[in-house]
Amino acid sequence: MTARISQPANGAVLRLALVYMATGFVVFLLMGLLGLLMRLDHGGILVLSADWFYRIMTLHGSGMVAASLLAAMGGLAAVLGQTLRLSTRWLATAFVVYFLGAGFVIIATLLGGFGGGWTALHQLPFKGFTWGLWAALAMLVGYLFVAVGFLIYCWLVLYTTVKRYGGLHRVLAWRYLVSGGRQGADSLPGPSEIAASVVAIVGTVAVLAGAAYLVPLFGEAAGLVGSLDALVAKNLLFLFGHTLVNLNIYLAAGLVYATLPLYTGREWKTTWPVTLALNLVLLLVLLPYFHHLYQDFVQALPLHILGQIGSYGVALPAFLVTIFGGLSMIYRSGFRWSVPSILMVAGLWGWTFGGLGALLDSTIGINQVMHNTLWVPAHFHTYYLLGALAFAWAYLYHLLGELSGASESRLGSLAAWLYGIGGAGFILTFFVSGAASVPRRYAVHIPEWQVYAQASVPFVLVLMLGIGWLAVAMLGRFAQAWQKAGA
Amino acid sequence: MIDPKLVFGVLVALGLVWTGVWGWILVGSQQKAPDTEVGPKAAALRRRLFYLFLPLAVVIFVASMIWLPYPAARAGIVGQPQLSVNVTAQQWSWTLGQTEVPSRVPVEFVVTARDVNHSLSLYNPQGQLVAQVQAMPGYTNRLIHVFDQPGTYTIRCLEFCGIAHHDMVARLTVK
Ligand code: HEM
Ligand SMILES: [Cu+2]
Repeated sequence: MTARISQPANGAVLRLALVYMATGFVVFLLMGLLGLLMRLDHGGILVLSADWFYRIMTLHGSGMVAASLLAAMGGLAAVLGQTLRLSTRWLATAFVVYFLGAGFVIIATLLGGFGGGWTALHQLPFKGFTWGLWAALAMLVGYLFVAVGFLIYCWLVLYTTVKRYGGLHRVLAWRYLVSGGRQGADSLPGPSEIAASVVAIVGTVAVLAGAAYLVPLFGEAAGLVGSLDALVAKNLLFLFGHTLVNLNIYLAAGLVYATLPLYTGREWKTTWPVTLALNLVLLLVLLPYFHHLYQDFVQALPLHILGQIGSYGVALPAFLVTIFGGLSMIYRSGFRWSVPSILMVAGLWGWTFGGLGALLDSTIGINQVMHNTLWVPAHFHTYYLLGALAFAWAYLYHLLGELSGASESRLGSLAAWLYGIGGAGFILTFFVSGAASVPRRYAVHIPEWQVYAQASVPFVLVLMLGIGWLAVAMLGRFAQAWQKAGA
Repeated sequence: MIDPKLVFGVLVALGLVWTGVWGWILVGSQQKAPDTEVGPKAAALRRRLFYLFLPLAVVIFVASMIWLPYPAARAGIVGQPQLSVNVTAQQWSWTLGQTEVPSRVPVEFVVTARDVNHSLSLYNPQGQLVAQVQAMPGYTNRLIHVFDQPGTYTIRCLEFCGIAHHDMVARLTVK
């Protein structure tokens, strides 16, 4: 078999990838400011009306999830573009459809007054009182577009990898896997390619679940069908929502496989443990969503148990392969400190720390006293901010630096330290709030709770400073990088 | 029942270990050793960690089952409920069958909702969340709880239900 040819991604793919990531970053920055507003409100420092709090909360949540996924999608497109021919037309189509969805969400929340939360449980969208039916529909249509945009991306990735390697079983390295690494070693896809394909498959399932949730809701709004069963609706919603956000980290892991080697001088090969881990993820990643329903006592017990098994089970391959792999790559590598490498360290640290918070909370008995407290946002903010997004920004910064040829000042890495330290302080106060039983999704915090939010504000400001600094640095490189990418 | 502060303690302890590991890695990263030397060592360590973590996860998993909050499991541990309180949630208030219950006996809450999803949660007099269960339209969830101290407990809604969600507060007197 031919050796894998590595080349810079074709210019158009690279430019599109930059559009994905830059859009993701700008949305991230804006939504981050909304996050600050909410924490100020919690602290009683800048009090919002409940109506506006919940609208902002909804926009922040859905906007951040969308931005983060978009950034990872773009980053991975650039990585895949080094070895595969991705269709630029479909990559562009996915972006446009996805972006339209974001537009609907903005209209629903800012104009329509929708404030049902980024995962609004059925029937809340239709029984909000502070927003009308059209706002709820705009929100749902927005979700539909985002889901379809993501689906197009998934199918593009899958089509391209399957075509390149001659079959799904080859992309997933099954012969190599079952032979214990003795056969099929000569034609293995790279780890990023396998990760992307796994995401594409699971992403398709998640989107189908989303459709199964959304379509009856449209039918209900049109008066065609009766109300969807509350428990079924909840299962579908979390199968869609949880899986979608979970996949984000695996996309971002694909960026780590591609970026870390550049800063450690070591190759991240497709080894047998890598193929095992990614195939296990494929098998297990649909199960953890059941942990969202632990407090629905009427749900069948085996499903609760399956939720805990899946949550524990999916952590093991992620830790032992990607995170442990990252650690062993850095160890004794003569690691260079720079913005991308600091962000990647922050990301590997945070992915694990957030994962520990998640593991604890995915234990049914613990969930009983943690569910829907701020512990929940604490853990997912950790592995977004100091996980998936740290990887995405590391890669974006790296790419812009490489393309523009800009040299890195020592002072410049301070921006990444601010991001890491501010972010860690911010999420820690979230965890403390959760341990103090402070509920999530509360516009008004009683005085006993406000102190935790107040303590978080300085950290959020440090984080914002880091983000702003990164933004300025990247903006300064963008024009030149754009030119170079197209050349 | 589990104390959330203990859980936080566990997280912090594990977090410190994890941060220590990073400190060690990063200090070591300033020197250089060839991949051929680090690679096999890392692979061996990974194998060992696998054989450590897998049984550990199984043990923790099995042990954690004693905290199952579901009625059959709870009744098996604390005994059959001595009295039953009907709870109906609606936007944005609670309807409670009674607002006074005894301490130290198993009490069963029979919980449903009229409009959208809500969640019944019990906060003890110190403000700590001690139990919760979802309130869903079309379903009845049963939560068995033993109040371990007398005093005024606070009931809050823990499932987002719209603009006055945070105001869905009621009191329960435990004698
Ligand atoms: C940049 C700094 C950020 C700050 C200061 C911030 C702050 C907040 C706050 C205060 C809440 C409301 C918590 C509650 O009361 O329930 C929240 C919710 C949320 N945040 Fe962030 N956040 C930030 C970054 C992010 C990122 C990077 C993501 C990535 C996806 C994210 C996703 C979400 C989601 C999904 C929710 C839940 C919304 C809902 O409950 O409907 N946030 N954030
Ligand atoms: Cu509520």
